[in-house]
Amino acid sequence: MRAPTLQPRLLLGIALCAAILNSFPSASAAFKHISDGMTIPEVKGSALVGGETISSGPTGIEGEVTVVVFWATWSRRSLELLNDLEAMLREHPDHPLRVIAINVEGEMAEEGLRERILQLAEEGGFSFPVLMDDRLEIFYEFGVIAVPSTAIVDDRGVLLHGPAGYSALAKDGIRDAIEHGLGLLVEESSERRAVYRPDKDAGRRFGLALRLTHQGRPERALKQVDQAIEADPGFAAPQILRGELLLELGRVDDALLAYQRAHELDDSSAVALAGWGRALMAASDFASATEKLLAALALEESFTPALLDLSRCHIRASRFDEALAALEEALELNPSDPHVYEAIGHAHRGSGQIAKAIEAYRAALQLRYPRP
Amino acid sequence: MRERLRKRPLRHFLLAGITACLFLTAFGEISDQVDRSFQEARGLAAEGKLDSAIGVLERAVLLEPRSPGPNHFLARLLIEAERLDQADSTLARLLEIRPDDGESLYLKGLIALARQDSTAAVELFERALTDPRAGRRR
Repeated sequence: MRAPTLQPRLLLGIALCAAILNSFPSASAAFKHISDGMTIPEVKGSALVGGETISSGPTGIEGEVTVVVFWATWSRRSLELLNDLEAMLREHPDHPLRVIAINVEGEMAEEGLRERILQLAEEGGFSFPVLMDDRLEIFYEFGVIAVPSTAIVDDRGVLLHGPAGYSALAKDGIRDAIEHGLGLLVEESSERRAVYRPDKDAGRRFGLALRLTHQGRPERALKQVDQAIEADPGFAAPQILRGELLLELGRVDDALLAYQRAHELDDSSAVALAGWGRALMAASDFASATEKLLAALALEESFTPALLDLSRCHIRASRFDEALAALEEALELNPSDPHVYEAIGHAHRGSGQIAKAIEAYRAALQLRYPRP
Repeated sequence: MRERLRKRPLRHFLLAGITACLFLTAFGEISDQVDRSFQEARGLAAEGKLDSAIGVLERAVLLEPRSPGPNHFLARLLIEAERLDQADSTLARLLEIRPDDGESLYLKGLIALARQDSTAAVELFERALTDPRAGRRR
């Protein structure tokens, strides 16, 4: 089910214009907890074709660029991205460029998915390995926020660029980052931001905090986050995680401060701004929350958590049409997110459209509780 | 006397151990049987043999009346077979144990829909969506 097409997409227009006018390039916002300059977790798995074990870890080839793509068969943009990457591989056969495609629709995978992936790989003539993230462990470890999402990594496993989605802006960013990584763009772009390299101890503690967070141990995670911040006060990622943990623990005022600090440290982080917006929502300041969420979307138009939270602010203010416009976009980025359908249901319910609300709620619940 | 005291705890310990082993063995067998029934019902339902699948699940539910999995599946199939009253009583049993169980509330919402009761359906779906135990997001 899809939300109906509504009036001109005012929200998206604002977001797109702001993104174009903004002199900063789009920062890495594909992943919740991994930002440019951080070492990515190693991706390992069996290639669907040939069964060879694939690892994203450094191969020792100097100057190698690895592109890890999180994709799904339902996503038109994913297929476009994979086709473009295949074209790039053919364009640069003598350069150390490798691509690893990870299919991330596995947690609720239907029968026949493997066959469909193989068929698409054959049709696209993909020469790179395709893996399946069966239980979405890699997906959650990276904290992927949209499909497709891309991690462009240097020869030490450090993230150079990580855009969400595959808009025209993301397309240029990906090509630039790959060519830059391969040394094909010799001149340093004046707009390219310096990549922040966190302190090693801070990085280690942050990694541990992420694991503790995934294990549902927020208080212990918070201790590690605080130590990461102490080890490297300029590292924005732990501040963002700190905000998230404090929100979970109900400490809204402290969460607001953490996100504010994260934004001060990295004003191009859509994740920090969206988190700030979420904390403002928790503090019932919906007007300021809307402002921050729109700013996050101006930095990263495909940032689905911001779209979802923005729709919640609109629903709260009875702006149901605007909420549905934001949700329509979120649905295009991830049509299997039950939260999006749930919000569509709330928007219809708020506008008195009970039949449509039921249809959306039912879609959300079908995704949450698939038939065995 | 001292001898008897020393022997008794050992005897009790052995007895408790044997009982635990027997219990675990029996429990394991039941779980295996329920699991086999669940798989069999899946196969039958996929072939469109709803009544046979329901029969298999009804027997499984007797072995593990408090397990949500077989009960949810049974309720789903009963709804598909339009045996709404039976589905309702299956879910009522589950909701007695866990009143906020999202999947049971969702299935009750489907029953309400089948009975053309939109007001009840929307309320049940909304309650189902508030269950924090629901599946992880994508």
